Amino acid sequence: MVKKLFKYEWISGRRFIVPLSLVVLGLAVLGRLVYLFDPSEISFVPLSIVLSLSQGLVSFFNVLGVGALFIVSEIMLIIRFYRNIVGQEGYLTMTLPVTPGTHVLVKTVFSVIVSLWNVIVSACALLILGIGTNVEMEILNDLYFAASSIIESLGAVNFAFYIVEGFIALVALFFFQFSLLYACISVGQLLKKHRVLGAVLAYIAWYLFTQILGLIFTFSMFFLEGPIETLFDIIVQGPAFWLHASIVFFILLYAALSLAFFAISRHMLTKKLNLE
Amino acid sequence: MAWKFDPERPIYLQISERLTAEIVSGRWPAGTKVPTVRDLALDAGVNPNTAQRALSEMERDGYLETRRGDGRYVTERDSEVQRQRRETLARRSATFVGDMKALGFSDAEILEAAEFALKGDTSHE
Amino acid sequence: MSDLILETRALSKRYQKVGAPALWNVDLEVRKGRIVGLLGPNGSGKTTLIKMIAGLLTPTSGELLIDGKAPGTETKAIVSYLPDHNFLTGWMTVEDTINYHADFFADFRRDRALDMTGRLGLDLRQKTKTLSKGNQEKLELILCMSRDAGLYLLDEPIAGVDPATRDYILQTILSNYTENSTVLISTHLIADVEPALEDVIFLREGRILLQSTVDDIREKEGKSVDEYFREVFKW
Repeated sequence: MVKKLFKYEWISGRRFIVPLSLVVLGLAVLGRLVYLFDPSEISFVPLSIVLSLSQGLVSFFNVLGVGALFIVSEIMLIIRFYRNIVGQEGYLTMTLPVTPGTHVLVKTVFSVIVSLWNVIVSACALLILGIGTNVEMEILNDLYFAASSIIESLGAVNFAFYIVEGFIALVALFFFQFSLLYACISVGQLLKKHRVLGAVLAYIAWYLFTQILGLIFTFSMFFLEGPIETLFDIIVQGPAFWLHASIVFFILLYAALSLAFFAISRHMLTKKLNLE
Repeated sequence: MAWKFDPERPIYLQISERLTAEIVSGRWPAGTKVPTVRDLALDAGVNPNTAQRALSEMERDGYLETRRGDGRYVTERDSEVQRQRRETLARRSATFVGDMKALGFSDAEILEAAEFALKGDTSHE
Repeated sequence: MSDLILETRALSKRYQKVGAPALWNVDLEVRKGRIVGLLGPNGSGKTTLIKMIAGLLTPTSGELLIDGKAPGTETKAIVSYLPDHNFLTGWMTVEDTINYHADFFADFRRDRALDMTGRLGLDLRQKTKTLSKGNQEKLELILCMSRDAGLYLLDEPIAGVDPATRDYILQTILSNYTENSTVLISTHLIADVEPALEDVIFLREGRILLQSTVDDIREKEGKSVDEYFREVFKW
């Protein structure tokens, strides 16, 4: 059953994933081609201007394209979750011999995979833009040098380890993002006539909650000067360790929140399903 | 498509009445294979259990019989009515003959009287 | 193995804390192999009951057993639900929806579905969002009846279709019938379905008013279920 659910997520999702990916990669190829020529080396002035303009436009659209890739994907995934589970299609989806929890899990995992794919596509676009030039290799080299210097100054040994950690953190972040969105939809559907509004309100509620927590945290800084200084002393003694620890902390935090939101979605869709 | 039914009476009764009429009128002679429950239900546009009940009633009344593995057939014995008719004829004839013999008439005299009665009857028709 | 496909005991559903409950204290026993009419005016709780059997709503209190089990993935595998609403995925073609059903329901008979789409003149490659309303309903019916389900739940299957299609639908229901499957039809077009029914359940304001058979009602009341219904539910 789970395999079949993924199959249909793909059948439905490829309708936007494939075109978006092709557009971004296409723009990157176009960008690379346009930059093959140097406007300053062209004596025919109008052509030189056109070339400069083209280069500027293509650069603009490349950046726009990558942004659109993520934003449009996210919107499409949200719409599909809503339609498939809580909309008219829900009359079929929710009578399949599959638990609501399984539905939510499959859709969340698929969304994370799509997001990771988008990251890969964006990276490929960057690489394409830099084929044959030394610019990219230089930038990458500089970045690598800078990053490893920082890490080493903090007393760490293995840079690769951080890359792995960073990747896991990214995955956790994606899980958190979609678990939150789907939980908002699952809660929002309780408002019979205003499901979408309900979802938006749920999202705002979460946002306000995090803002309030942030405020409390910031204010508490003023009163906790003493403990904070001791904290800094501890951190300075082994900065690499604390860097690791904070990354791991965030991974665990996102994972825990993802689980919590998943549980909320599952409860809402199992016990309180409210189809039109 | 579906048969028309009188809304005031159970459908199964109306079905068995219609089918019985086919049998009694002779349009379905003895030995005719009767539609299966499924076919009857589909043709009449009724619930299969209703069709089943109609056929069972007719079987109970003696109009139909089930041949194992082969379905339902119109009975080879005469229908109940025919049977009762014949029974009545046999019974009354036996009574008549018995009464006349008790009065001392011979077989030949009884037969002659019966023939005369028949002829007299035909002359009145 | 019980011969009851559906059992409820004191089944109730409340949507809000105050006001009348949608369903109250419903006690039902439906045997396998019956075609049952669930009859009642709008708002009497028919759809609520059907949705609970389909697993889309959870009861507020009471018990609901389908083939002896509480609603869940096992019961969903044997219940074929035809809702009152359009449930098709717009961008899928007719053939896509058939494949989808075949994929998820083990009891789905693809050959039956293809036969029926052919007979009803549906184009397999047409996207469902471009189908006319009548054709959408025909497709939904085909998807529902192509399963060899233990319990079919039909919510107003003939309300929005022309008389010829109505006949076809009733004929399909009758020809699909087996002793192991049960059909529960919720409708207010009683006269049309009455010959196909064996049992009837009257619902009024969320409660069972009566549970009987078509034969019994005709014998005892001397009128059809349709006429008796009008009498009982007179304004």
